[in-house]
Amino acid sequence: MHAEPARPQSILRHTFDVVLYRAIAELRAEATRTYAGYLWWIMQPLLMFAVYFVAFNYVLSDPRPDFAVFLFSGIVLWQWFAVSVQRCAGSLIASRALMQQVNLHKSVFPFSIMLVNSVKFLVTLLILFVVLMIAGHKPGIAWLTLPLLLLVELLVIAGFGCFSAMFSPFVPDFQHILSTLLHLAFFLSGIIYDLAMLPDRYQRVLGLNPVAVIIEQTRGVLMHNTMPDPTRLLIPLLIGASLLLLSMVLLHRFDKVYPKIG
Amino acid sequence: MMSEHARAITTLNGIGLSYARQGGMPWRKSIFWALRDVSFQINRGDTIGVIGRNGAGKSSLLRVISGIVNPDRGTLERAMNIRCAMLSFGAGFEPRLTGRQNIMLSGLQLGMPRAYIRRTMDQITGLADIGEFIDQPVRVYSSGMRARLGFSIAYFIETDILLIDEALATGDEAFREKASGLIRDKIDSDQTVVIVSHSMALVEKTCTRAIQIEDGVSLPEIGVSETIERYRQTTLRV
Repeated sequence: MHAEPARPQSILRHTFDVVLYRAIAELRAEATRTYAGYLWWIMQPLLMFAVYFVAFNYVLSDPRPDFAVFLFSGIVLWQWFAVSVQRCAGSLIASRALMQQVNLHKSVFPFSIMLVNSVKFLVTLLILFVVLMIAGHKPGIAWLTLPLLLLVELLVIAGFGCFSAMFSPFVPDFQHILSTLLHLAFFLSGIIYDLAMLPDRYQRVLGLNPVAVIIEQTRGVLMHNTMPDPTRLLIPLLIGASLLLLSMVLLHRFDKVYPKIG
Repeated sequence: MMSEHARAITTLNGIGLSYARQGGMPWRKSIFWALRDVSFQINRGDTIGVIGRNGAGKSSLLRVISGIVNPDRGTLERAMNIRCAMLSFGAGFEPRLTGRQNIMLSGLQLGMPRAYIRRTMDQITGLADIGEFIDQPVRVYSSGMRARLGFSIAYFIETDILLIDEALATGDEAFREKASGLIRDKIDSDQTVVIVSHSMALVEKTCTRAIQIEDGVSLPEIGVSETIERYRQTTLRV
């Protein structure tokens, strides 16, 4: 029994195919795991939104104009970041059996997870657009910068995601610490409050938080049609790019070490 | 001797491989040498049987040859553009996906190009021969069906050195015979094979060379039947 021989192919192209197909497989598999299937992609952020909306709008009776849109946009952008990074942290550990059998570059594990979560994010982004329309926010010229802002967030996600994937196999406790850190970061990212309400010195500190800056700038674009401030975006860009570079170098350096960690 | 060396596509020189064994506490780590000193060369067309007791380091050896891990001691020299692949059955199966979808997923992760898998899809499903189950999720498969599918994907791996970890026994009796027959065809062709096996009959019948590993050390190479005899002696002694 013989098959027509395979044509040689670049490693980069093949690695890309593996990332892509792992992502497709996970998206398909996830939908069959629960009764509601794909609906969960939308329901998860909506439920989280409902919790905070009830808490702040009714329980703490702090009704602010446009709070629903403000909160929902923050949550959608935050969830994309937080879920990706959290799942990346477990990605190499979960693939231990596989990496002992096949010779795959270890970066495929975090990248396929980021691809999965980016697809889910794009679905919730559509919901956000609907919410914006209902609340009467019309698309303006500043909306054209939205893809750029999302690319900056993707870079930040890739940086933190690859870092946590690279680091956590060496310190398994990191996954637990990470969920606490992300919980803390949620409250430091201006999701339930406006950064501009804070005193100046706090604003300056939180301006170093890449996710806080991206959420603030994206809200400005979507809710007020204001152009993003490039100088503010410099910090997320730098943090994302340098973390990604560092993590990729180390992932590559430890590529043959991970299968030995038991 | 010169010509022998010219055919070597992979050479192992004093290979050692260590694992850090986790103790009860993070600082209680001990180093465990799975391989201590393994040397031999693989020539094109060889069928090498690796024999040794459980825990002798046979699976670790395949991992080093395949490039999944790097040796901690010694050197591994590989000729240019020589590909190595482990014949792994069902690597990276996703139980909730169908058999057909898993062929693509597992095949890619085994290193097959996407276009090649597409072209070979019908041959793979034909070899697996599990009927309409091919479009059912793998989680409803019997272990036999799962083994058939895993074998059928791995069978089409294209590589210069094929590494097999004694997994010839898969599926039901009929399929097992078919599978061993196909593997034997592959071994008999000019495919270079390194096979780890506990079956002395298989090694004697199919291998052109045999390497014996004891406690992570490769013993001096002698003929196949002599190696099997020596292995029987050492196992009896304990």
